[in-house]
Amino acid sequence: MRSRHFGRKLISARGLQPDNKMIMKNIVLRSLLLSLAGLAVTSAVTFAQEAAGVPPQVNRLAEQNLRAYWHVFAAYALVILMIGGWVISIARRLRAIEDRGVE
Amino acid sequence: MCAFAVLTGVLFNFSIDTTTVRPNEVATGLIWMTLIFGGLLGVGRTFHLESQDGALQGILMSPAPKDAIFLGKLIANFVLLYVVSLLVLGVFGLFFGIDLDRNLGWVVFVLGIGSLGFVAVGTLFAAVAAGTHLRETLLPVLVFPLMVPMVIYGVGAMTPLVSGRPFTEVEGNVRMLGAFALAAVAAGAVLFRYVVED
Amino acid sequence: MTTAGMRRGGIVLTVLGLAGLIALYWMCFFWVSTEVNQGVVQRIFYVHVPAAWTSFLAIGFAALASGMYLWLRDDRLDRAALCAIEGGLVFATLVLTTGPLWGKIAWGTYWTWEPRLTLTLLLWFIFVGYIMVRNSTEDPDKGKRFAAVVAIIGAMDIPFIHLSVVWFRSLHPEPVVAKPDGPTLPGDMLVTLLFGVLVFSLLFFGLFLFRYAVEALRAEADLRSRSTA
Repeated sequence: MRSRHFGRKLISARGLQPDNKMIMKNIVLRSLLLSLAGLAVTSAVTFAQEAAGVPPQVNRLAEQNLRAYWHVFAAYALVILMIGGWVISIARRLRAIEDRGVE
Repeated sequence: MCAFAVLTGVLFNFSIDTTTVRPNEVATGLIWMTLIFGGLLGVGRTFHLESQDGALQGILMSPAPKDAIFLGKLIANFVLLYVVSLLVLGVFGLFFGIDLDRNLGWVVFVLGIGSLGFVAVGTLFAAVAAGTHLRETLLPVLVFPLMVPMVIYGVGAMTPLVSGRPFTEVEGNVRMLGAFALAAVAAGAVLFRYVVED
Repeated sequence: MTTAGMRRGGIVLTVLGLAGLIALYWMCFFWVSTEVNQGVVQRIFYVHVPAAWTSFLAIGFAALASGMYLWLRDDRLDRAALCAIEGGLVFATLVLTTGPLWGKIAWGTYWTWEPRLTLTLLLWFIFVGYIMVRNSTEDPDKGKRFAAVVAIIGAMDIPFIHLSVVWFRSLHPEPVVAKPDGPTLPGDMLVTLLFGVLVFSLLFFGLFLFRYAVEALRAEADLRSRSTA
């Protein structure tokens, strides 16, 4: 199956025997890590900007006290949580089917 | 039914704080909510009789077209609900001081369309609920979201009418209510066969 | 399209969507300008509105698939409707959670009967009703038919609900009328918003395809276990 090739590229680089469970886990983990990294970079840069001076044309974000509006961060975090949640629920269903197929 | 109308009116009376709100202002809203809750109780039992002893299969095996069966149930439910709603109108008029002499014909007409829209949706989903093991507890979840336009347009039409405003002012609302009822009846008639087939 | 092909397509779209999401986040935090009246909290708008868009896309798609299912009785259509409904539920929940987060700061109250929020709340219940009905019958085929009816009636009602709520609101305007999406939305905000819609749609379709493939696998597995049992 062609999807196996896709998964193999991700996993066989490590010299492991790929199967669907690992492929799924791999993809989910990579996506989540990517997103978290993005978020981390975002917050790091934001706080750095707050500390240092910012070029006038970028934004007035740093002028306002971000900590008062934790709502914004909560909302954006919720987006990641909900979409990640759906991804994980699909992955779990897939795992359940795989386990059923094995027996 | 009489008891339902009267006692609901009594409870509503005690639930409003008459120092801050004038009863006749909220009365039309309360009438529609009573209609909805009472209607829900009524349509929930629509298919109760048929679900016993395989009577539903018997009806379905008859050569009558499925939408005719739906319309039959619809008319029965409509008559019941309409009578109750008129009762509620009378009783609430008495309890909350609504002057019913003004625009009575239009008010009764609006109530009729509202009842029709409600029973159309309610009867269809009663058939759905009868086929599940959740039965009547499923009905509010399915029916209430769809009733929002009916309540908005219904109360929006009835409140000015009851205060003596001319019909031309609420014509738009009544049209929308009518459109909703029409769409509901049509959709119910078309989709009913998919709900009851084996 | 084969199941495997759909799975791969789903993964590709999802990864693309996630990359887009990171880009969107960057745009929302760094690039787009702050709105004058509401300040920083208005940035929630850029996830709130695309999520609402996507949930309406979901019900439209689900209703279409449901209608075709009742007509053609192809189980694949029913599976497609289910996956769309699931996605719609996710995004509708997002709207209903980000809305109050925004509203508390922008309008001083957690809940407001704003047309979009009200419509999404009722849509949320239509999604829940679909899933409840589908899982509450003894005969699974009956459940599928019932759920299809729920989806169709729900989608038909959406225009009515929208019209009525907008009319209702015109009588009872909010004390603070916030208009972040007025006709004169500045260029960079519009770009960010549209990009948000694109990203969310990508994510929805990607995960929809993937979920659909998984559902198809499950149906296959069910069939196999029934024939061997």
